[in-house]
Amino acid sequence: MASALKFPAKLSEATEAGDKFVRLFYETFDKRRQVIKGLYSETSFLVWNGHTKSGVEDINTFYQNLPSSQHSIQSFDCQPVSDDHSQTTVLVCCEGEVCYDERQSNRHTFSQNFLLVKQSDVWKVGSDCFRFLE
Amino acid sequence: MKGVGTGTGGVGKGMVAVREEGVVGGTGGGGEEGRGRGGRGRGWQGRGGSSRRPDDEDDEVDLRMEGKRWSEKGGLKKTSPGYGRSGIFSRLGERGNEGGGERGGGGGERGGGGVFGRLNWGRRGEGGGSRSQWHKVTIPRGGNQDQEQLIRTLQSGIDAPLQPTNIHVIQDKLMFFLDNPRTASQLKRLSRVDVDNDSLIIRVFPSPPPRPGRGGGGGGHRGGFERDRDGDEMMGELSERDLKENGVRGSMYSREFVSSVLELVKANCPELLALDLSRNQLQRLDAYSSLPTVCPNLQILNLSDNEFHSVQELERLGQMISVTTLVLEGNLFTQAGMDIMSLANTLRKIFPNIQTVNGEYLPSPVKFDLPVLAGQLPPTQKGFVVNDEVQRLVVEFVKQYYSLYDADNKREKLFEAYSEDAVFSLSVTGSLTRKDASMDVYIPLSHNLARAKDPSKRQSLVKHGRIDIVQCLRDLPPTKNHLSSFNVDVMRATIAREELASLQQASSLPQPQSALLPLPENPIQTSSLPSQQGSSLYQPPPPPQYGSSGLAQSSPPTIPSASATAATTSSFPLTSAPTPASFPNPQDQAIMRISQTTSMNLEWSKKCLAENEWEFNKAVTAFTLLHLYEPQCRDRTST
Repeated sequence: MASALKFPAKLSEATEAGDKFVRLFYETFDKRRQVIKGLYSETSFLVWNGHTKSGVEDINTFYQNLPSSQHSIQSFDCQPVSDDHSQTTVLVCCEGEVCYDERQSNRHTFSQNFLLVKQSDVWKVGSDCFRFLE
Repeated sequence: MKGVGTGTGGVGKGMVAVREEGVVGGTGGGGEEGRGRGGRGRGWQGRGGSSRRPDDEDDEVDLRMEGKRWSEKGGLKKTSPGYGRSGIFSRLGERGNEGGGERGGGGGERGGGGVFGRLNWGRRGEGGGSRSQWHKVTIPRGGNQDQEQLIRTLQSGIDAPLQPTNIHVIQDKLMFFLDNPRTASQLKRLSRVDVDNDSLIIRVFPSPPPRPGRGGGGGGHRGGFERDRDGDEMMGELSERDLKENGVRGSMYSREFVSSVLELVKANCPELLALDLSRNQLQRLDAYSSLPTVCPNLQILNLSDNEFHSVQELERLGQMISVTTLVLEGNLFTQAGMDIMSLANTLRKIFPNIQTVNGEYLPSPVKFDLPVLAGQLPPTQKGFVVNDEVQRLVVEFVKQYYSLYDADNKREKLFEAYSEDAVFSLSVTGSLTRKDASMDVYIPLSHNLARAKDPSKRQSLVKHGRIDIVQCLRDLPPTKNHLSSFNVDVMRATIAREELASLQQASSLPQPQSALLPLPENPIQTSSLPSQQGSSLYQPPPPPQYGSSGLAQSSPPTIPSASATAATTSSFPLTSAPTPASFPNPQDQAIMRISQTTSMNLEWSKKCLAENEWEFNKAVTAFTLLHLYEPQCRDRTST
């Protein structure tokens, strides 16, 4: 039970989850976006520059319709969110640059925050909040 | 047979021959019959009665109406598809108007013109053998010479008997027809051989048979012309006027004339399917730029035997989506030995649906079954907050937090903002550090996992517990945050009845950590400055001029619930809200009851009740509201 873990254990679990997730997410998003839906679940929620989508299908459709992308992550951080009950939750905050359609004019600095939720034995994105910083 | 001409609706709507030749086409061997068909097939049908086979008429109808039936008859299947696939052609040209002399013998020449001749080729396999033998001979400048003398000269140069048919002159060109292929090929070889100390140029091309019955000079033309007006009146008039006003070569590239022709076509034949512009000595297509709009349904375009220097000239046509068949041969750029297939991509830009060029099928464009392009980037919208209450709450929290953070020596008061179990880390974005030395102080603290790889170092960079957190905050440089630069998104407002209490007085709660609803979907805030990005749970410390603070807390800053909202309007940090420290028996009963009603577990039921002043109905209402906002709560309730 996650909640039984001491804080250092939770922290290192969160760090590992966030670390792996960030690499996986952006690589998948840029190169294999067709399978990105595997990271989401029915209860996932997305706010993308103010556009909201909920549920894996809606989110997936929205993402598939975005132009091709190239993300470059400059920083990310993660920490466990207090979980005094069943679900282990990790907050992941990323910041970097993204270039769409390989056009320099379409380059943006962005911030993207995720809440990762451990569902049985896999981690899913519970919340995904993306915003251009401009 | 007149009925054929008018009865084939395809004619009126499908074709135009803006040229005398086409107009006259029906005047061949057979009076009414020829005329009737002239309305549709023109020119081609106009071939002489002598060469007409009994089944001509049927063929013709098939030809015109559906290429399929035509090809079913054999013959064409193996021949090139480009020409005459559809028998519906329009001939837009000046040739027919080149002067009276032509009219006398001109029928033949015109009959051999353009597509119609090729139609006949296509039908060669059907057994109309005699027609295929015909050749047309053109001798430039031959019209200025004594015809008989010239013929004799030619005959002297070849073995085969020279029996010219339909000798006529168009301007200075002498033209006639031959039905003996051997003669034709010998004549062809004779070309440019010195004859009488003059290099004689002889052009020999296969052709349909000359149109007999048109030997009567201008009158003959007129007659045919008049009759043909039954078939398509508009053409007749056009040609007539063309004759009178423009009877000069070059008119077909006179912008003025062409545009009036096209206007007429547009007005009368908007559904024109085929247009033959061949042999008009066109070098430029400027005048035809309106063609796509004039003939939106045009499928076949014959531009052969003009003088286009490059295929780019066709781009002046703009884009003609409807065109599927194109004839380009005999132009300068095609004569240069250029592989027409190499032009496919250029042609496709102009004619996206092009299928055949010069009778050859173009390879179909290389396509893949993928959506052409993912969508555009959606426009950025304002911050999303689930509802106004949450908005007020969050905004209030952010304001109060940063007013304390920015104020001199007041960061200790943020102690109240954190729970005992709060977590804090800050992360510095690489690009900022390079730009700004004032970030230096943050760098040792930066929990940027993209850079900090060492696990133990990572651990040490995360502050746990509010004492540590506030200490860390206190040591950070003074800041000034510009709230107007913040951008707040709150994804979900999950109701946390206790969260206010926890914010206000975390220490007074028996279980401060659990006093917050630690929902997986915490509200997340991003700010509009890079330095302020991050969730409300976590703020990377920005340089002072950006004025943001590093902030992390273990729970959402504020999560409103119906019952909590009222309290949130008060300032933060607030004095403690009353929280029962223990639960007497009646409360336990209520907990059981609410747990059964809502299927929440006992702990949650207790919290829910505590937050709702131990009133059962109020608690149920709150629970229901919670569900409205946060369906996922159900997942937790039974655990």
